[in-house]
Amino acid sequence: MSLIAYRDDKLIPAPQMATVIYDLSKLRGVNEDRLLKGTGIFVSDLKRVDTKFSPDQILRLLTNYRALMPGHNSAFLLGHRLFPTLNTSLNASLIHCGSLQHAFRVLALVRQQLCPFVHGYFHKHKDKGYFLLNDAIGCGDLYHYILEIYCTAFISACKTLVGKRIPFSFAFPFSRPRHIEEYEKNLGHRLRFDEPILSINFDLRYLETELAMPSRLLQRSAKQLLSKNNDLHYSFVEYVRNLIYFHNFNLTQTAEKLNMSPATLKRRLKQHDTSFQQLQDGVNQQKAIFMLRVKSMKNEAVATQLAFNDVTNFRRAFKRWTGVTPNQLRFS
Amino acid sequence: MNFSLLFSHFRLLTFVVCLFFVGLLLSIGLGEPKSPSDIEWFDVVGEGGITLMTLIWLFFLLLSRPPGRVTLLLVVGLSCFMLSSLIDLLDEFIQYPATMWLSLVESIPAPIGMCLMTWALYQWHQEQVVLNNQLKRREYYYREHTHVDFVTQLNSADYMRDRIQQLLDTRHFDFSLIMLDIDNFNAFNKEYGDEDGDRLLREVSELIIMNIRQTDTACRYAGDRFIILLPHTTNSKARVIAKQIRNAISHLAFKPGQQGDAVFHTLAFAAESPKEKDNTDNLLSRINRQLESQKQFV
Repeated sequence: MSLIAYRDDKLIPAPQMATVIYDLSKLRGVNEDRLLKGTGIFVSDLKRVDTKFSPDQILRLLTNYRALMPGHNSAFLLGHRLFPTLNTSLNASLIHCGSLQHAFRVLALVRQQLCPFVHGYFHKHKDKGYFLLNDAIGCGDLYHYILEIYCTAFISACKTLVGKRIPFSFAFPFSRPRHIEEYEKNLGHRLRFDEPILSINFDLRYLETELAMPSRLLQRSAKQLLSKNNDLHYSFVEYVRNLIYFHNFNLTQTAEKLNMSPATLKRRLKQHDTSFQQLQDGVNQQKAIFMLRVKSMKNEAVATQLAFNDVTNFRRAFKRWTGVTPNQLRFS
Repeated sequence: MNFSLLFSHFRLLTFVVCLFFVGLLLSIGLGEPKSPSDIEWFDVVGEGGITLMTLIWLFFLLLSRPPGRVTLLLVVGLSCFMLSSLIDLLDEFIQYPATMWLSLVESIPAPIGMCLMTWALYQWHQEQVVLNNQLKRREYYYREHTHVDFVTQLNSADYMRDRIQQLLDTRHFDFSLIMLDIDNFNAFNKEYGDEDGDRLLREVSELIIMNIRQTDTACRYAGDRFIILLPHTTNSKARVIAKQIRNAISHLAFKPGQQGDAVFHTLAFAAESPKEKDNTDNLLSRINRQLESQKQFV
């Protein structure tokens, strides 16, 4: 069985997130006691490289950071500092890939290390690739802010890997923010808001793009080091979502797979700000919207794909998830 | 609140405190307390309020202004007024013997203080004219301190959006915008650290200010992206100015750290002018798009 990271497991190395947050707030004159208040993190922890924090602690730190930093750009500022990390084998496993496609494959393996809060599913349709993003740990109100951080980190890391910019398009499920200039500056001008699902898409031909420093040997050794150190985990919410997404597991099957009782699973999910029903609806909703909107599939076909008995049931469920009918969504 | 200026006024602070106690001691020392039934509480509240407000004004004055002639005049004037109002307040509680010179002390400082303050406000106006001149090219007929960016001390994108909206609302379509973006700024930031990154942004913004005309206004848009408003300017003229700025910045030999070797920077720019039916958002998104097409792609 794979290793699973819960939100109170101390797995995120200090230099990855906490130290960067601390440094940036110092630079902007933020009081360090107020920054660390209620997080259980001490300055002395930050001075040691081997300290690790839980996602919970980092979320609390981010809440303080967001409130205390002046200006609108604190998330974007942080996003640019997240890659390369202090973990050299992690960096090397990506930097020495041959192509962007290769790098994305490795990213899927090491994502938990780089970005414990957001995970995604990759789809191809016609000449486009789509990352559909999801909350991996239960970020609550901070999810929007965390998306700003990691979308910036993604763009910034791709620029570091390739050496040039690649035109990515973003679709956000929220309305146009007031500080649109930060989005334009950090993510590019291909932005759409008020979309039904969150996605990053790009032209598939960019997958062939060569990276700046390819080396098969270095890349392989880096990957070996990573798996030897047992650094590769799944976030809990992500793991459950994957079981639903790929295997269509129900609550009992999932609990069995995780070696826990359904009651414990429910309690655990509640700790992560979600429920099994919510995850199941989320997965189906995302799949349905993708099939309707991007693949332009017929209602019947989507209903079959999602294992609904008939179209009426699917239409009713869809209305419950999104508030609109499949046809309304298609033509909006 | 920032208290750093308060401590640079040690002498003025002592003066205000001394004057306050002089007023207090004179009244208490020379008079007899009134019986509680004689006290007019309505007057106490009114006069007490005036004294308290004057003290608060003095506090903010000392907190906000650097030492100088205008500050001295303002503080002395306001302190005289404070002395009068203090004695006025105290005589609600204290009975003075008739034909007492203290009643003179009550009425004389106030008019003197008022005259001093009037003169000081005129001086302050003169000072502000000079300061406004210094701020030229950083603001456009409107001041809003909450929009000033922490790093560069330029106004922010919000400020620029409001100014553009104002021009469009009043149907002034003869302006142009320039947007500038430093190449590889993030790579520089990663290599040399955020402190040097911030310093570079400050120095670039100074250079931009130096290279624009008296009527133009520069703001920080986001990150290392700047935007300049050029009223009554054609697009081609704006491009000429943008090229001059690019030229100036390419010659900036920025020395990172304490004694680092020079690092040179290039920048990309875009220039746009509004069309009849434009709103602020699509004008800005057009210029952003244009700028990105200038940037190097795969």
